[in-house]
Amino acid sequence: MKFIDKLKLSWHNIKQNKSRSIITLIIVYVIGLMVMGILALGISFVGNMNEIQTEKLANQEIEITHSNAEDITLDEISLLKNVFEENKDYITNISETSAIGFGFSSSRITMFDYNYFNEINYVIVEGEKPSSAISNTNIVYLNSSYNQEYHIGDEYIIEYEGSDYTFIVGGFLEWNDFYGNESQTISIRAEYFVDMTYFINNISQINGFTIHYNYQNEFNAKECILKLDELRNEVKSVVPDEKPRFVVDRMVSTTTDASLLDQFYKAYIMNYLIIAFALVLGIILILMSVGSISNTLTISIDKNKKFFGLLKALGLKNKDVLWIVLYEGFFIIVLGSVLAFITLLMNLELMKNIVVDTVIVVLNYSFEDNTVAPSFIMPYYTVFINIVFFIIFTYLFSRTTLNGVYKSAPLEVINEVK
Amino acid sequence: MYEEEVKQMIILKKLNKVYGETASATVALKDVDLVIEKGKFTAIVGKSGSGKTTLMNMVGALDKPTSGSLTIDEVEITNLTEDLLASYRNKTIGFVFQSFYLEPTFTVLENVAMPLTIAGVDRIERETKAKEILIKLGLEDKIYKKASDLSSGQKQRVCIARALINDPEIILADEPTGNLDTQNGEEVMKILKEISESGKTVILVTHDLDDIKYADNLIEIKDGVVSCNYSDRYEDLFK
Repeated sequence: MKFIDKLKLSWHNIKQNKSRSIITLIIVYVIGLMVMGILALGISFVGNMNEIQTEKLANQEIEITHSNAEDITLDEISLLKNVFEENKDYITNISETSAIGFGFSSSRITMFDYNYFNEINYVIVEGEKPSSAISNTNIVYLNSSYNQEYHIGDEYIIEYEGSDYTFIVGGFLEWNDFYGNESQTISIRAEYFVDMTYFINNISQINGFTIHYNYQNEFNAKECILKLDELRNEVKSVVPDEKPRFVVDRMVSTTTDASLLDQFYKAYIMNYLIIAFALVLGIILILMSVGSISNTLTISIDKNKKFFGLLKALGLKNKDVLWIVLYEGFFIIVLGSVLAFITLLMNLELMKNIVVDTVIVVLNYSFEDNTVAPSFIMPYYTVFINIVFFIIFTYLFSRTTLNGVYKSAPLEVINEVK
Repeated sequence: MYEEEVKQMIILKKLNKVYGETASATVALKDVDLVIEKGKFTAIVGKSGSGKTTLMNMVGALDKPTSGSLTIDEVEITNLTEDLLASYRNKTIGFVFQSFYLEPTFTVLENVAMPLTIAGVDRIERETKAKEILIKLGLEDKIYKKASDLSSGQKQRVCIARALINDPEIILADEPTGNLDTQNGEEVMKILKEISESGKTVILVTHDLDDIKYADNLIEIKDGVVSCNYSDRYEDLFK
């Protein structure tokens, strides 16, 4: 039997069972309103939460710290520089640090410092601004707290694992923030501080660095987190965590005040929980109303038993009988769901207000004081989800109900009505 | 010997039908051995409850025998699946019921075309065919009427038209005149006779002796057993 003819027979059955079909249509409509409404509210709440979270993250700096106490070679530094350059859109600042020997471990030497977004100015408190001419020497600029102990031109010896390493003190410096415009300021590049070639060849103790990673407002937080992971993996691939010399448990990790990042992950999980909750609630509601649809189909089967018996006598196959009855249910489901969806579309403002109020209360967020604009999403797929679940459950319920007509011989069906 | 002489259409061997189980079981047919000839008008007669309708239902695959063999056109019907039985009913059998079983909300055309609709035939083709048959049966002015608006005689003719639309080999008529007055009854029987003369196998179940004069063969059922089989010989008895 052709699909269109089955549909026509289903429509015929609906007409035969008009009042019950209308009641079921109303039930499907109301449940559809609730299911799609809950889903849309959940999705919209999650959408707003993501936006708010992104905004919060955008205002925070995140660090990736690598500290494996293993030598980092010049080649590795060169590769790392490439990685940093490629990711400079996301990186505000990279500090290369090194705990060079126990005697010096209390104050890390900044080996190089890339500042992509802001000029970080250091002040030469004492000494002269290094020039490229001295960049290939083993001159070191020390923190100003050492200026009582050392003088410019002094040899600065670092003892490490039984060997002495000698630097010439080129000057003392401090952050500009502390000293204002008192003296010369320089933009930090690694070469100006230490002769890295000398340093690495002799001390081989560049064993840590910190990447200051900052979300930008225009970036999607989720995308940034993925980028962060990518960056972390790239760093890891260049400088592996294997065989840490001093510290075994410190690998490439996000060690920042990344509580916000954690929050984001929690929010990320919460997103799924909210959607899952909405789905579960929706399924429960659908299951409640499927009973009504199944009941309608049962009544329809009873009412049309003679008709089905006749059709079977004339050669209609059992599976076609099943489909004719199911299409009847599907028709009511599709019509009820679409009507419910249209109703929701007509009440978007009301739905939006519910979401906004929920966000304000649950997330303690003020839309007025921040940049995120409240939004409400009514995804089209909710109507399909609603229909699909309804159809699946109706199918499962009705197969059992249909067995009476489905399995019995046509004559039994006719005679039963007789 | 007999089986070789005639062109066989339907062969029943040791066919039994029992309703219910054990002590309360009712034997509707008991070890029925029967051959129904192809292209003949066979009447099955018997009192109410004798098993004649059960026999017809078995042949029409509307019911399944409890045991025995039923071969139609060399096909063992008892071995067929539900789907094949449905196909068999649709293509090989045309039913004429005493109670017509027309869908009252459908038009005459829709009712007649129903077997073709079930067979998946295109709307235009099935309606053309249905119209042709309805015109042949003198129902051209009733084509678009609702079945509920027809008289009993007209309803039975619509029922016959529906039985013929798939051009089946066998027409099964269960008390076709039972709900009709004498005149309409006569008309229906004449139509069935014409169908038989066109080469179809017509099996008529009736308890009305007026109807059997149209038949070529006569089978009498008594308490589920074939008591008499007057194949080609009944004319001498009834004329």
